[in-house]
Amino acid sequence: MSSKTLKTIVELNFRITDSTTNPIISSSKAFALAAKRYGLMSISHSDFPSRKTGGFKWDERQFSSHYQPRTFSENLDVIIALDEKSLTQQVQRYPDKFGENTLIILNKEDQPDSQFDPNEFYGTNSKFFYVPFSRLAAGSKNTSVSAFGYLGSEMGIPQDILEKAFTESFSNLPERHLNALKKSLSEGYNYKEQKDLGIEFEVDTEKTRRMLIDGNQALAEALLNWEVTNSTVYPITPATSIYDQTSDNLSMIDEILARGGVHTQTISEIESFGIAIGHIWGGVRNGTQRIFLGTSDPGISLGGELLGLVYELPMVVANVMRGTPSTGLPTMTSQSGLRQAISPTHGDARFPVIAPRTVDEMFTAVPTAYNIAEKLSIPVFLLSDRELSIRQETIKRPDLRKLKPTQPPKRSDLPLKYTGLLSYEDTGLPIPPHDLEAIEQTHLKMYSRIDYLRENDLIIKPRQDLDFYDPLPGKDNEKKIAILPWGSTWYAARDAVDLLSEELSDNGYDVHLISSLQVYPLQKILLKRIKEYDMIFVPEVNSTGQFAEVLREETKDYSLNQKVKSILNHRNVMFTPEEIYNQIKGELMS
Amino acid sequence: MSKDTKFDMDVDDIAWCPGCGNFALHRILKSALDELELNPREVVLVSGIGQAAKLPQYTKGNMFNGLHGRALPVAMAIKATNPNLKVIVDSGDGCTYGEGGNHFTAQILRNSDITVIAHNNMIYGLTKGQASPTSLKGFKTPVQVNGVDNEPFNPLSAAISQNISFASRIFVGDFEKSKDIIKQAIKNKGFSLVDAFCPCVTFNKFNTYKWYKENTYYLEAEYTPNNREQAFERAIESEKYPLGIFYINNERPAFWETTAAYKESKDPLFKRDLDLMRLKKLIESKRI
Ligand SMILES: Cc1ncc(C[n+]2csc(CCOP(=O)(O)OP(=O)(O)O)c2C)c(N)n1
Repeated sequence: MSSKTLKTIVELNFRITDSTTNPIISSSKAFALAAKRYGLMSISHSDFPSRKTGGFKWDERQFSSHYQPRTFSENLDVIIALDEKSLTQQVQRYPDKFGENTLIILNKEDQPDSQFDPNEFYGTNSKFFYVPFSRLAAGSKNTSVSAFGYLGSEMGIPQDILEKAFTESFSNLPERHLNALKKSLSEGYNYKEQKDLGIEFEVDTEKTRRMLIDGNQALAEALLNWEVTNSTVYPITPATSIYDQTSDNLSMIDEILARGGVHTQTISEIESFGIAIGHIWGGVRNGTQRIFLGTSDPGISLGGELLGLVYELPMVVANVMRGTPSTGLPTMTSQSGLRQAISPTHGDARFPVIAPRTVDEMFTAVPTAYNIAEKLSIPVFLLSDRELSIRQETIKRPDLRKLKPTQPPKRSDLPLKYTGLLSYEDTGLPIPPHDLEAIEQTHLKMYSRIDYLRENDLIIKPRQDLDFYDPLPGKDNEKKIAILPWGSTWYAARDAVDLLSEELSDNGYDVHLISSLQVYPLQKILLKRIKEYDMIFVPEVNSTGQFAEVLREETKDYSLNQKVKSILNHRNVMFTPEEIYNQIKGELMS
Repeated sequence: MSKDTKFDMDVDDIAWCPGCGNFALHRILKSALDELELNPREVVLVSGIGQAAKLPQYTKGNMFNGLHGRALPVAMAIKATNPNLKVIVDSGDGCTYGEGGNHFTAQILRNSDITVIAHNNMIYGLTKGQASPTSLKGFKTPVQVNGVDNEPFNPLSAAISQNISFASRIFVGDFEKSKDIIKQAIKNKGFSLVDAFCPCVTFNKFNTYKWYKENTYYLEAEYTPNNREQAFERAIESEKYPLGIFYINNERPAFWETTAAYKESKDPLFKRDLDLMRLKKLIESKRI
């Protein structure tokens, strides 16, 4: 085949897929590391079965040389299929990802004179290429490595950068295997000389320094930076990786133990919550020690009861939300945990909830959560989700020195009507109420602390870039609509605003994005903003519109019933911007 | 060796790693059910969540694959609702002894008429390799960075101490003997435990097939499983782990037998009609 230039790009949407035992996700992470060092920004998502090896899986990356991508292109630019079965599944499950310009690279020997028409066979109308990745990887049997060698050379990533990233990422392999892997990588790399796809990347290397990190790693690093000392966990996907892998190949548990803290793996979430309470009751509460509990929706269902009879519990509970129903879908995502977080224990108790919207917001969300927890002396829920947990993104390196705890808030700052138990000076233990009436009174005070939060915003600093976005500033159309996402739905909503703005403006609408890290109770600034819009669209990955319900309740404004429109997706996958775009257009233009 | 059974099912995508002990146990169980001349329609496999707990999905028959740790109460009630069914719980060690540990004791005490097969791989497989309640002391994982420091849970001695109806242990590397023990467990009336040593080839590189082989032996042919104290003594051996049937106690009635519903009739509940006449009589009798 001739080597003509197909495309000069600043953005590339890429997938690798396999249904055998190739470790495509580890390889893809190594590749993204090399691409970052070369100067490319990226995001990722992936789908894999709940098993170690084998089975249909894929990893998708959006690379860009000029800006930080937020969502994935509608059509794939390049897909590498390491076997035919996985390609068939891709086409069946994601027909819309395949377009005329999609390059499909199938792991196969070239068949120059064959009459076989792959497009007819697979039901696509894309461009097919055959590259014998298995042969190129004969030494290591890791076909994904030769594939990434080839892609790397096509994208113009220097070979030494690639090799270094793969060597680091697979450093636990014995030397013999590592050498074989490097050989496969370079066989793939050099294959470009035989067959060139002609992709060219314009790379602007004067980029700010970025780090490649996923949501759970960011959460772990933020927790360590905020000097968390104690943790307790019962393993559950997708929360478990918070504990065992930071981006520097450290483990949060190692770090906690090295600091003289306590980490306990429990035999159930009931035990985990009990242990957290015990730590605090025993004295871990003076603002120099902090406790963290990470789990997923089923774990909160189970352990949540223990939060019912706590008087003082300054801790952060992270729920990395996963697919419902119940303990069902660990490898899928959801935003089903909001109402559960508000009231996990019984109908009368309410807890503050914050939901970081992006990977990098973990670094400010954690301090916010602990500040609220310590000021009010109650548990704060931090909602992440499966997509965010494994989403690798090139983020700007946060200034960690600025994000260190300073003086812990003093509980005596709280007005008397909210304060709960005082502590004994010598032991630090709370002075317990000894009769029923006193217990009741203390609980009432604890429940009412949420009202304190309604009256006083405790957010450290609003994130202007995430909280509000007006794509056409200066335009002042008569009708105003807002998209109000929460958690990781922010990414798709933000891009949907861009897709919608021109078209809606021509039809007399302004469209803005409004959003908030704190999702319960609602902050005053958000409540005020809501009033400015004629219609508010709330996209959520759940089936009941939980945040829309919260909005109606918190505003106590029943005219909002008309104004607030839920956009729901209960397929346990992320929204795409196009989905939100279509729904809103359908609603407004019909 | 295993052959085709009535319980085989065509599954094109089994989530277990090649070489997983679950494959061996699956073959053993299907063969045992077949040889007991059971029909898939009269067998209910109940499980929690975990790699082991996926077994019912790959087996012909009725199933309930529910919540992590919660298989036992569901199984007990299925049996008590329809005693004609053979109810078998099949889950991992984490699910059965950890997350669901309180049900384990409660159901032994209640003497639910079910068979519990716990795939004991001494690790959490599905969540990718954390220590389980049965992991041995010192065992290191990515989260037990300094090694496990708990005493491992001993399901057999715990069960025998509570006067369980049937307590046994198998190693899935031995097809014939394991099948024989499982058959006896299923035939036994009352709570029957089969603690199944079942290697996880991916995450547990310590307790391998070889390790289990070298660290187990069968109870002697002359061993009689009707002495509780003796059974307890054998159950706490840990230099090498005995395999076989440790203890049988058929003196206690099974749970469903003692419930009022089966005093007059042994029919399952779904076959019964409400006796409205009787209810009417009762109401009449209370009128003054
Ligand atoms: C309430 C709840 N907590 C945690 C989990 C996550 N989880 C699923 S299976 C499992 C343990 C698996 O170990 P085991 O029961 O020994 O079975 P194996 O996978 O080893 O066969 C855990 C912790 C869950 N599904 N539900």
